Amino acid sequence: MFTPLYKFDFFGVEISFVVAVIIGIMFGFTLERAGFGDAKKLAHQFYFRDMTVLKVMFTAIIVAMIGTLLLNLVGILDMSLIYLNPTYLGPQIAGGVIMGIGFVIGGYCPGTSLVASATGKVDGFIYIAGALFGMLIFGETFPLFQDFTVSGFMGNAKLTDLLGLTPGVVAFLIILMALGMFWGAEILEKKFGAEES
Amino acid sequence: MTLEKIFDKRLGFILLLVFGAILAISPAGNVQHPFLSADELAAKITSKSNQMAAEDLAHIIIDKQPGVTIIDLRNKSDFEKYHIPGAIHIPVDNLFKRGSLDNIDPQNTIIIYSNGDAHASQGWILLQQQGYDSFILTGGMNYWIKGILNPEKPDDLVADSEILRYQVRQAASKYFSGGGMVLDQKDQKTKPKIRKPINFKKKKKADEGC
Repeated sequence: MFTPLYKFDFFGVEISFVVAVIIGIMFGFTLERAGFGDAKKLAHQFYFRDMTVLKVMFTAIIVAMIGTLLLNLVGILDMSLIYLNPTYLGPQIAGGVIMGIGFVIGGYCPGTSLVASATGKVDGFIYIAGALFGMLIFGETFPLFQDFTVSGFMGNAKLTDLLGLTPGVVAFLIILMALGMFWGAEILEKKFGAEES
Repeated sequence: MTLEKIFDKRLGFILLLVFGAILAISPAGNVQHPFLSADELAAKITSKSNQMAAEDLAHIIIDKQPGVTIIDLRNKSDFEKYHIPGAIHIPVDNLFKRGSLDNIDPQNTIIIYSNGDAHASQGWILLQQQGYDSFILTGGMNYWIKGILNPEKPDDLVADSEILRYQVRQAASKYFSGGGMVLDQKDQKTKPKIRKPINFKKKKKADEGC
């Protein structure tokens, strides 16, 4: 059996939606159980009081990275068929800054706001309303930045090409970086740790 | 021993380092899947997942999406008479020739077309064998001329979705026949932009996010 299953036509578009819903529910459930439905916990990240977000995200990154590379190593996963978000450097930095500001102000990222509203949190609903309003504004003014949104195109830019190293070595470096960050995060938590919550 | 003790943080650190070291000395990430088997090729062809509708291609060109390569497989005189804006010319016979694909990035979205579907289908298999995943323009140049350049109004009794597609074709038609038959990327910038009246389902991979 070869994966990705969808790219090898094991199932069609319709089934892929069903799969997406199942994965989405599991993702949302996991986020909620990890405490990501709580704006306070999420916002504490930015004051170095609670580094759960960083730890969870980097754990997800290295688990996925090790998993895909090992599956490729044993010949199950074809890396060339994995969809990579193409890099548009300028627009993506701008988007990241906007998203970060929204995260600090609102206490959620788009995904966690849905998680929060699923548990009935009012601020989650307000955050979603704000996000929808922002989408409306963006859609209506899109022609103004259309050229910017496709600027700085770098294709499927990868660290392996940039550094000229094999994927395995890059993975090793990222694992070292993650371990360093986990360690640093614990130190920050000890120093700034929240008294409440 | 309690679970906490067994799953000590240090154990996690050591495990990660071991995994990292294994990956670092392995060829992981560069293991290539062998060429598609005949069954897999057949599945792709029957499911039509290797096709792209003319409306979708028009959308891609009007949006000036980067990372797209359009290949014209027809003969030279046809190509010179008219080709889809931005298309490069590689006659289908040349796909056999060594070096003819050197300038094409396999990571790009590659769309191929001929007059009908026949040559494009042959071209698609040739490209697959050389490791290039591509899409066939459904209906080829014949449909492009009929559907995009000179769209005909559908009958009154058709589904809404068909009317929406007709509106897309109309808008695209204005864009592509705005002036001159041969366009290249530079000219496109100065062409008047026609606002698309509606959005429709694109053959585009979904973006992911937090």
